[in-house]
Amino acid sequence: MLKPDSQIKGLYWYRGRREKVPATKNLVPGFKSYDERIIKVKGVEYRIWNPFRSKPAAALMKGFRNFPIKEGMTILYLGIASGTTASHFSDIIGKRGLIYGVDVSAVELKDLLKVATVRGNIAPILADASKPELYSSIVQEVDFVYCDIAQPNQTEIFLKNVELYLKERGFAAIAIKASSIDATAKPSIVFKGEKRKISRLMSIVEETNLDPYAKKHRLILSRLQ
Amino acid sequence: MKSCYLINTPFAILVLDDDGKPFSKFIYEHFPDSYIKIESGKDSKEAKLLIDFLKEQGIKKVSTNDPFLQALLLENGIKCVLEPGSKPARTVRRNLAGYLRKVGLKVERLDERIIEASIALTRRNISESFSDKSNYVIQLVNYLEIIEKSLNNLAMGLRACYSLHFPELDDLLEEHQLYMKGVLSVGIRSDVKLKRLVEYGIDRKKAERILKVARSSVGGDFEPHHLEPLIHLAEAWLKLNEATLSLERTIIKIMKEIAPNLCSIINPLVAAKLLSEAGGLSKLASMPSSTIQVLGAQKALFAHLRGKGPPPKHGVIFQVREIRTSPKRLRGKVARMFASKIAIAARVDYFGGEYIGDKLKMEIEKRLADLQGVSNA
Repeated sequence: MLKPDSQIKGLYWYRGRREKVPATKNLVPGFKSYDERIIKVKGVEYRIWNPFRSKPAAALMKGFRNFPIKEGMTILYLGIASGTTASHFSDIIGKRGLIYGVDVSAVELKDLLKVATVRGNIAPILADASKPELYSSIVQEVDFVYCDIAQPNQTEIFLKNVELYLKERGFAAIAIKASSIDATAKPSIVFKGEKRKISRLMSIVEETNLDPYAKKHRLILSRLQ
Repeated sequence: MKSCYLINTPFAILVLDDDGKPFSKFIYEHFPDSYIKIESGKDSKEAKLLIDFLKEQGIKKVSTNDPFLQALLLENGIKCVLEPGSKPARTVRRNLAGYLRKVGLKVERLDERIIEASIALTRRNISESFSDKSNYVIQLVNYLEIIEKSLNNLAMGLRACYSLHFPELDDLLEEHQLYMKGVLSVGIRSDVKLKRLVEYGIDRKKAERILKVARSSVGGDFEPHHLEPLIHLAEAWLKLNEATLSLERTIIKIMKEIAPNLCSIINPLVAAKLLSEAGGLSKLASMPSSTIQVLGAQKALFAHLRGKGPPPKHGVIFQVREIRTSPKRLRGKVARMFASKIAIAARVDYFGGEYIGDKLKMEIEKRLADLQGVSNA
């Protein structure tokens, strides 16, 4: 059983044996972007969005309401890796959208290249996101910034990129792993500190813990003033 | 015009005046190769034209959004500041198609062309990163560890099998490599010959002992064809072991090339393991020595931070001979001293400094002697 989400266009819910999981319509039917499960309904392919492998999917499972990605958007994705999550973003934004995918690891980007070539709406960039000027000749203004990099200074990196590339009143989300900022402090205290940093530049719209899909992780959505 | 903004894009370098109005442009003749040249720090025809233009116009102050373009201009004696967040840079980012049109460049399906340029550039950058021998050595070290573990497992398995026939050999030849030679030269226990054992490199005393024990073994009776697979596998094991040595030699050779100072103070194989734990020479060079000291002991370190257990004294660097052989109460001190010297050596190596290995070695020896002197007093 597959139903479209009542609010978010391009997002679907698949009722499996145990629970409902998110899914997206495959932009490139017949092509798997990783080893995701594919469901066919009336000849249309949908790709199951596994919340254990993708943090936005986990947030959706936790009832996240202000999902900001829409058809035709341009996205700056920091820490895109091999494109597991990005492939679902790519499904939702469609052919008219564009994802700039930044990652520092050549090994990961090598795998992304194939996905990017087939999908046609991902621009891979091999660079360190802590130096956003490195890609300022190629990345244009974007509607949404998504950051998932396990670095101690990930929030600072996120904000640097938001300042340079996000449009006015645009949305940005960051997935924070408490232990990569401070392995010994209580996660709630770590999140509080990171939120304070974000609030200096943006207002926080919504946040959720990703337990049990990703432990000690939090997804924070904010908006530029 | 005294100053201008240069906005680099995959299609052209735009020249904007003080007010951010398009003034001139240098269109990349070959898309996307000309752009990629600049982003790879190489000279290009367009860059030359640009530099001539700036000199002709007598433009003294230049601001750009692109660090690669900045570097190119600085090399050619043109003052240039990097301002990716300048107002003109932002305005162009907001409406690239519009600005390109203003300078007479109509780009069809802009997004597709941007993707094309970024894929081409990324392919080139991946290839460059894969050429970095520091990455290669990290992969080799990881592979070496897998093989070493596998060799151990394979030897244990073979020992278990062959022991049904000749259980006493297990204790007589403790080293895996010798044991394999033992299996090959003994074969069927009742056929064992002293000469054959010695030919395979087992010393005479041991060989005589094996001969004696073989006669009174409690092992089971086997036909040659029962043991045939074990003989083949022992041969294969020795071959794999040989190949591993060549892997080690290659790691050592590359390490000596990329980190001569580091390799002068510690065993290059240990240096390679440190590099692998750190994630590259650049990372190792940027680490404080206290982190280097406990690299590879993350589990103990986090247990300690959580308040369970003592702080680790050493991680990978325990494999440094001088640390391993120090008396236990000095090991922490010796490890700390080595970690700080490793940090210095790694930094000099990464930033391409001169060879200071001999000086570092002398300092280490002096400090070691001091520590030992104090402990003996």
